[in-house]
Amino acid sequence: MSADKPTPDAGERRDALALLARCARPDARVLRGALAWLVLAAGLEALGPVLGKAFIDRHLLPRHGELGAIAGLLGGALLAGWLANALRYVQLVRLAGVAMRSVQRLREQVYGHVLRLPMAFFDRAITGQLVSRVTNDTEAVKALYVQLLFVMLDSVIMLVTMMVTMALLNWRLMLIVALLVPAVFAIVWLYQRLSAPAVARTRALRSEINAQAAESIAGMAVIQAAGAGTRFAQRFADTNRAHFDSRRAELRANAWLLRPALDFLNVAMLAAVIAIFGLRGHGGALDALEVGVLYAFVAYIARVVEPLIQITMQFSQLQQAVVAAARVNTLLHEAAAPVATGAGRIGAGAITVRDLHFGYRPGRPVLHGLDLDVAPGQFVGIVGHTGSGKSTLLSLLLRFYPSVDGALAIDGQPLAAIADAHFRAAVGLVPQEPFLLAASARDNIAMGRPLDDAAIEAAARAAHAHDFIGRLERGYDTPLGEGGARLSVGEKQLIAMARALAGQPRILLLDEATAHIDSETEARVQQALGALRGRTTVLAIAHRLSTIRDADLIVVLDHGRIAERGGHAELMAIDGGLYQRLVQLQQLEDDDGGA
Amino acid sequence: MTLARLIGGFVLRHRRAYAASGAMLAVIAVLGVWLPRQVGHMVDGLVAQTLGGAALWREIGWLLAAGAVIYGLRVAWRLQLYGTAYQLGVELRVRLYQRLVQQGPRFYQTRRTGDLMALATNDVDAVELAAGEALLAGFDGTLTLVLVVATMTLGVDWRLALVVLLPFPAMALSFWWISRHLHAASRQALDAFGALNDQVQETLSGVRTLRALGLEARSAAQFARLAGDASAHGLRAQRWEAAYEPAVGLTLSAASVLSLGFGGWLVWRGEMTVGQLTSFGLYLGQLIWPMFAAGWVLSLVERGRAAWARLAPVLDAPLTVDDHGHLARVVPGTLQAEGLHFAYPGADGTPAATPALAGVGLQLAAGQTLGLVGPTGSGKSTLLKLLQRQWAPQQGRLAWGGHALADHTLAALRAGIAWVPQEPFLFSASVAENIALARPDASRAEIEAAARDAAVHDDIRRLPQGYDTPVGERGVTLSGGQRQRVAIARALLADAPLLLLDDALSAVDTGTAARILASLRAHRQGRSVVLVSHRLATVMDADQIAVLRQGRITERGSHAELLALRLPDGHAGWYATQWRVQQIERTLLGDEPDAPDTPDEAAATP
Repeated sequence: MSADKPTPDAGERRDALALLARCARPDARVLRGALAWLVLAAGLEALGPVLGKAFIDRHLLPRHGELGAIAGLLGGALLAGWLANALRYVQLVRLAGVAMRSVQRLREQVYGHVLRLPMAFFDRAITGQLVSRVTNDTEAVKALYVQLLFVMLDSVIMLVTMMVTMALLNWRLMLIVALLVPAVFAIVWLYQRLSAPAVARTRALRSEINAQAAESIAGMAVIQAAGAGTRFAQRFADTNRAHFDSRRAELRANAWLLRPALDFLNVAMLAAVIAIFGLRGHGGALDALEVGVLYAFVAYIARVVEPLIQITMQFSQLQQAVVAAARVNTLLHEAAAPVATGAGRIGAGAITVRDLHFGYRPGRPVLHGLDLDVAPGQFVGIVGHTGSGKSTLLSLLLRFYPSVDGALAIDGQPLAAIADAHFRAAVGLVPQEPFLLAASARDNIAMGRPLDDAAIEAAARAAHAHDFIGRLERGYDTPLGEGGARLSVGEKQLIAMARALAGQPRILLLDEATAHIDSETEARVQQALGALRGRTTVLAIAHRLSTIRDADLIVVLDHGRIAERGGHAELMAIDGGLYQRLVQLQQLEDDDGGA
Repeated sequence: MTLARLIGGFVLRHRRAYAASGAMLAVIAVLGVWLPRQVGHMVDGLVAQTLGGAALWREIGWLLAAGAVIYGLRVAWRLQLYGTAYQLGVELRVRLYQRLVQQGPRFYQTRRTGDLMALATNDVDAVELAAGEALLAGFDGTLTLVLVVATMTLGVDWRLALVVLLPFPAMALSFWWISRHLHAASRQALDAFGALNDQVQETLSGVRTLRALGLEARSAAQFARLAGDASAHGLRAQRWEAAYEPAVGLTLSAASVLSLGFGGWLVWRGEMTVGQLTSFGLYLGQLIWPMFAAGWVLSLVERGRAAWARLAPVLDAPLTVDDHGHLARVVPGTLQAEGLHFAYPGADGTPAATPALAGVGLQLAAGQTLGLVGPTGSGKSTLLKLLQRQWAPQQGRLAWGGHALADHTLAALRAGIAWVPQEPFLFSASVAENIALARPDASRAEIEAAARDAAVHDDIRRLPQGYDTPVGERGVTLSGGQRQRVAIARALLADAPLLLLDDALSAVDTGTAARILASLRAHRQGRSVVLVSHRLATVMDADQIAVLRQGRITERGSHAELLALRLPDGHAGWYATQWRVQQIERTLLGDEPDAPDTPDEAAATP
């Protein structure tokens, strides 16, 4: 996947941000509302020091002791402070809600898209990476939303409001304080420039440490056998030492330029404001610059520095999140498999295969011109050695891969002409590894389809699963646990069989469904298949030849071609034939007790 | 050892760094208290118009100088203290690794890789944080609190201090309360995210079944529910995180108004100055940190203790392999096994009921080759593991060249045995480094010679950077057969007197396997070889072949003898039957290379 490029270009960046904006759009009204309330909260927050200033300048220094007015001022200051805090909290939580919902929208979109990707995509993709796209990358995007909405927005509003209030109090002093903005930006910019190499190095070494630890634990026996333990321990210690050095380099930039430096700016600003104040006093402008203003400014400076630090600190993390968003966006641009919407219906369930050629990669054909006619209700067994093309044929019939038009048809209609939902309902599969949900036996058979209890029980009876389900402590309501942990492989297989039969498919495909089950369960599956004869078309790949012994037709595949076809007796009569030899081989293996 | 003792010992060893940091923090705290006083003093001077000209500049100079000193000290203690605490992380990680390197399979049997990884990363970090941040915040927070409160009460006005401090315990309490809930909420959020991750992992791995059953919509709905959970828990955590601000804000507003009101009254009565009132406001701001530190330190220590509770047992776990031998070198000779009984320990540590080996006896003269065959789970790999003393037999004797295996040091034994495991393991390094694993000093010519003998030289030369191509997890992906042959080259280069091949040719095609076996014979020079294989053609030329079934040797002899063997009931033996099965399989598959039938195979073929 090209999605693993370290840095997206400007266009990809823009697209990624547009994607994020789209996901947040349904919450635009909440966002606007929260914004307005936040501005109000910041205004109230700025009001406190103003009222304090009024108290000092109007009452305390001139000694105007109107108790009512003073109580009003102080009460107002308290009320404004508390109201501002309450408002901000409520709005920030609302904004966090917007962030979470936006991420959820993005996640659902990505996951839904991944489920629609063609099967060939999954053959190429590394599952771990794909999972990481859906979860970890969107988690990084969550951090972006939270920071953008929660921290940045709030800080910017706070900063602007404080500046405006200071300008109203005394614009000249405000301009001095405004110097903080470029100063803080410059310091953080410098910090990021100086620390970036160390930060990147630390991160790389950290993952190197993790990788070495994971690899060593996995390959410990090999390390020990080679007597390389001490050497590997030394290497691990060296990497740790390098990581330590790199962290210290990062620490140096951090110590010289972050908190301590910003705190120093705070003191310098205090000194500057007092100095200006002092100079004004001697220039005869003291009246214009009341003491209360000084009180207010001292209170404001801290409130300006804090949001400034917040804003600047977020930048580097934002970068990472944008990279993650760009990766998610690339995945969303993978073309989805076409959704079949044709009007074709599956009726009787006749299958026609005409000159079917197929290969997963160009130049490496797997199937070389298969021809096969399966009548409705027929039971066909497919056998062959590993690599003969059995599973490929089944995958094509399941529409996992697109086949050449007309090569495969059901009831005379090309596969692509049948709508998806109808196709999945009419074609059932019993896979080799049954996939069970952590849900009740009933739910595992129904699989979200609207089936009544009678239909579910009938399907379970047909699959010979009813008896053992009845013996579970809560019958059909017994939870089967993750992956059907409490059932034997055979029992899981019978559930999968019941699930397939419950849909009353016209065509039933079995992919080595009896490979891992005992002969008693196999006999039950055979009975179930026998009962379907004449009503449902059955195509069964079988490693165990006994499963398909009674089939109407047995097809022997060999290197992508049909080598033999006919009934069991017919094929056994071909001396030295493939089928005969396969049967012989299995008898030898069975005699041996399953080597 | 408790966390407190661990950290105490560490602090003691690095007492100079910790003492220096402490002293610097103390100076900073004193200056930090002095600053608002100075500001208040200057404001008073300005109001009274007594401060001006040179005096003003001098006072401002003092202010800036104090700021600069604070700056310098802050930088210095950070470098000292954090730099030292980082070292604890390094020490713990390296100690853990060294312990892991000494542990045998018995240790690894009971522990999951993911858990051990978490120890080396998250848990070590948590302990390091407790030794660094928590210690610092605890010290600094207490110091600041004491100094600020002392200055407010003694230095400014104790009545005002008393009134203004009233709301602060509420702040400390809510910090503690918030941090507890935040921790719990973050955990739940992580769990919810884990559940989401599992669902995606499960459904994407089983995407074929999913699609065949038309379950996409159901999976999407399930995903939406889990994503909703993750989002709800994330929001809860965020809500607690956001609660810190109002906890500060509400208290601070109340304290500011109290200080203005009561302080104003004191100013009115002439018992206090406006400047003092201003500095009071600044002190209030300084009290936030100690309040926050209190809650923070508690949660850091709690996390550190939990992490240490997981780490300590692993660091102190007894070694599961005895290394009490005294022979520092092996004397190649006859390899002997008598009456070997072995059962793997179960979850409770006691041997399982079904033994893996039940009375195995063998004798292999120096320079001879033994073929070991038998069904899966019959004990072949177990026997090889006992030979390497990865496990010790519960009964029976193993000797080599007349000395019991247990009398050798592990290092000597490992140097004497080269082992190619069933699953070849390549490390993230170049091919050459992987081959030279046991002999890092081997020359390029020696490495290439070993690769030639293992029939992998041509494959390696075709790689993008030849022998310097990185392989393993973070390198070029080699095919299963290529990996096996690199592992064989590794074992050949080790040039040990005993070579153990555990089904090491299973992914190598028949022709290449024959070439490797031929070169093994040509260069063996007294080397004994034990060859485990499922493919009988691989062992047919061995000096002796033993069939293991259910932990016992049931047949033994040369290829010809075993083919002719008849069991008491007149049937052919296991070896002869399997030989026929494999012959038929060969005719069925034909000699042409297999075409990939599944997309996985298609993707793996280079």
